[in-house]
Amino acid sequence: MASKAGWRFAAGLALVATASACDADGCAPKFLGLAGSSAHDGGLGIDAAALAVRGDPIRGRALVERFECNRCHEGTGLATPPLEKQCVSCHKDIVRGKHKAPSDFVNARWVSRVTQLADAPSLDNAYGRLKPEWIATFVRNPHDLRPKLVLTMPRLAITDAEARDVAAYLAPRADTKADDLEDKLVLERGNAPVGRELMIAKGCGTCHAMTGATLPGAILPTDVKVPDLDTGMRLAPDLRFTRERMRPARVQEWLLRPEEIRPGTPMPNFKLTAEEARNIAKAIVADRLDPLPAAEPVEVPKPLDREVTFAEVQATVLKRTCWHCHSDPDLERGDTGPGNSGGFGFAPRGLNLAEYTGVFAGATDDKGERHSIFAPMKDGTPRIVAALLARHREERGLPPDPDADLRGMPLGLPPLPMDEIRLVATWIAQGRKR
Amino acid sequence: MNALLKITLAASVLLPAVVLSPRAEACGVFFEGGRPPSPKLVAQVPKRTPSNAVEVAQVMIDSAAYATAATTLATTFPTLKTGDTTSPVDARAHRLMALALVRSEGAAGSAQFPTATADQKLANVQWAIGALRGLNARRTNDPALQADLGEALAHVPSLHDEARKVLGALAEKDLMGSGHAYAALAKLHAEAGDAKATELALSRCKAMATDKSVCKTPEIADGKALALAARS
Repeated sequence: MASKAGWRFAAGLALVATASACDADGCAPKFLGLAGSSAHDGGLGIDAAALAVRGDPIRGRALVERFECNRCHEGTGLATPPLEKQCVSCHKDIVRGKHKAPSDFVNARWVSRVTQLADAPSLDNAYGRLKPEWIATFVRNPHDLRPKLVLTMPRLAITDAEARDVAAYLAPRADTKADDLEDKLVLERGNAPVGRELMIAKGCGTCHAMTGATLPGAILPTDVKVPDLDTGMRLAPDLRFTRERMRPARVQEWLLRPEEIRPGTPMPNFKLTAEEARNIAKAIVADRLDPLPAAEPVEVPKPLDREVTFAEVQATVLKRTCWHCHSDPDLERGDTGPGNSGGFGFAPRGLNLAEYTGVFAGATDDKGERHSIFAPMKDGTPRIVAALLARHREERGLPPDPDADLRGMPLGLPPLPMDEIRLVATWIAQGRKR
Repeated sequence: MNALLKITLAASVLLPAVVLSPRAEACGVFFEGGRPPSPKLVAQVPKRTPSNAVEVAQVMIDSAAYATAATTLATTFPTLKTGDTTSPVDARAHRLMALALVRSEGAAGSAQFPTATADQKLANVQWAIGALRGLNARRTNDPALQADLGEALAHVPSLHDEARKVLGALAEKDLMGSGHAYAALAKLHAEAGDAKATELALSRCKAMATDKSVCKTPEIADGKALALAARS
């Protein structure tokens, strides 16, 4: 699977790289002599100065490897990871009844519970679709781009410069004067009102949202073949953000031949004319959008006035959500999760939330020093509660709390409901009894 | 049917229902604790998979059934005393056997760990300390393992200083979640005559221990029981 995707990826990158090749690590682009040289650019006008702004694809590849993007995404150009690290592929197999569980009993349990993380957007041929500067921004500060996909891109421990390197690896295509001209054609000759009508007629709202604009959930035309409607609906991005993600000409190109640009995409080919595609592209990238509503602040929940036991916290929160990534190193298959043994570029934290003694044993910081997860932050909120609240801040688009520089938990998952956070806070306030 | 057989049969039916908690809920967990108990009557110690035995032993230890835990572990891991701890499940079996031996003062024996004499019991505790040292060396910076070691060290008077250092450091950083370890720390503080620290350790013990009786109020160094003892 990854090999095939990798081939496509490499084939695409051959446009700008001097060579692409397959080796033991999979099929991936080789950017020979790229950094500081203009010999690689295939005549497309990339120079060293542009690279400094855009990032270095060689470093980018190493970062894609470090952040283990291939655990969730296809089309990274990296080899398929070992089974215990294949998040999406493993979940997809469970959902489809293809995964080989240790026993029928375990399999039945997994099938009944695993419903999420069975889809992630492919990065295959990202260069043909996305703006590198948007990739860099999104990787640095991910937000909910796909409203019907439960999971979101995790907030990685990545710097601005590293994000630019990742973008340069994933989308190294140079912008040319021809691109500028094509964009100009869309913006000047496209007809947004006509495009909007077309979007309704073609049923774009069946899968896509467009926050801040009216996009009725019309019915797809019967002559349109959708390869996989369920997956398509989950992966369909909110079109509000398309103007940040794609150049106008790329939107038009994508509408005209999606399966050529990204083979296997659930995006159907509507057999549009160039003019129709241009009008829709104009509507998507230039139509007026209402401003997003202001995000509500996140309040620390008040404790409950009843007793909360560890068993209740364990059953409601720890086992249901946290345990998957913060598990017991003695009793788990695989790598005990990125929150324990490390992963997605994070150092091992050694945090085991599978049992009472493990919860108390705390987690290690970047220097390897242990800290209690109950240690109070500046405002007195226990660290674990602050991390759970930080995820609400992230989801609402609020900046991180300057007094609590924490990554929101659960990473990449929807925030815990406030009632569950209140449960944890109450248990802690009541003395963390067993 | 004689009385012994009746008891064995009853135990084989009831025990799994008690000890098999539905703990294995996350994807990736491979032990079988959530498996419903078999309705079959088996008049012998049930044969368990290593992962299942480990989970059952954990529940038994939490219930202070140290001898049963030791038997379960020894039956499933016949070379536990001399075997290595390369696999995670073997490591957990070592840890649990060590705890069973320490908390029973070396009396939770088996063929591998004879308990006929005081020397044999002491040897069992010493094995437990050695096993826990080995586990701590293999997985450094794990407060849960360190707390177990500290608790074990507190059972040997000549190792009390080391025990106080280990447990005191964990308690200071609020990294200890074991009632038994806090009980041991309370004894060590009492031994040093520190009534305030003893009281604090006992209060943490009472919050954490499943069996509150382990949080006994020790006598402090001058021979007087803590004032707390009279109140509680």
